[in-house]
Amino acid sequence: MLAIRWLHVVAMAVVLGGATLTWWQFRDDETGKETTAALATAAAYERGFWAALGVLVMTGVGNLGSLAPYVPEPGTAWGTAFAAKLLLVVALLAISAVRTLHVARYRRAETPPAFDGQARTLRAGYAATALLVAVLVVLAEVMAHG
Amino acid sequence: MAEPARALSLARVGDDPLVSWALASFHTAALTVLGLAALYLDGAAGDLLAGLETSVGLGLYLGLWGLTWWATRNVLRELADRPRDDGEKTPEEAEDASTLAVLLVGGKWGGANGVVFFWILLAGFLALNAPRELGRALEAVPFAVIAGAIGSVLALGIGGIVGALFAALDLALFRVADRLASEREGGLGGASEGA
Repeated sequence: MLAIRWLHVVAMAVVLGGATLTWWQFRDDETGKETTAALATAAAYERGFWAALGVLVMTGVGNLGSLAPYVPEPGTAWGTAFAAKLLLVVALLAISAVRTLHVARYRRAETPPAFDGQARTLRAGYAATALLVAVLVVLAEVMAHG
Repeated sequence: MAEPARALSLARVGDDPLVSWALASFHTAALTVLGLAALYLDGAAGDLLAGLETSVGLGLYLGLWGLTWWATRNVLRELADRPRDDGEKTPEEAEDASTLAVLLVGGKWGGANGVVFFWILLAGFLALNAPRELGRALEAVPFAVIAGAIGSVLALGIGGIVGALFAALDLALFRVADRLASEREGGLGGASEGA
């Protein structure tokens, strides 16, 4: 069980840390700069993100199983936090799928794109990802420690 | 001004491993989380998980993930390689696949995914529960065959429905991604509607 929890925390760190790093790479302190390097980081992050997310879901179920059969009921404070967590995970999945498709589309452009509206969209996407994951971490703390 | 990227569509990403990896992972995770949410709200999650070994659970998820990646990759490749009236155009130049084609191909490979996953579950169940004596093991063969046949039909149907639903969801996600890009590009490069 300790290994499952360790994997869960490591996967979370990959998702949150990677989103923050990739958001930083798309910062617009120089309008018009080449975003090739940022796109390469984004593509690498997207591959790692989906691997880490699979580990998060797998080990999340495993963590829940460690409470079984005495899983707190939906009407309790714990149950409310857990239901909110599941809802946010679904939102994260949907946002992330759109974000990945945006990266894939941007990569297929014939010329390296300069910083423009597309990069701003991706920056917002990575910021939203990092923020969502941070909220999920807070919910996890509430569930673990009250 | 940089050249705008061409609109993405399900019919044009058969050669993009990132897209097939992302969609497969998305499908597997979404199915698991939504299933877990339904079980939890129904009050059945605790009892189900109590009877599930951690290693078995991890193995099931990894198996479903791998099969879903295989099915998703085949969906994207089949949509990219489909026969076209315009003959000579490459996938990048061709029109998008119709919504019906996407749902049918998604349903087909979802059904295949469901059947193979069921066979893996059945094989695992038989391996763990089959009688050790040859005579008793042979007596269980008719049961295994009947269970396999009925289960395969059910898995084909359920997998087909799930596959079609995820194909529809993927279409929606592609359109959202493309709309976001088109708004930034001032209306250029929107995905075309199929017949």
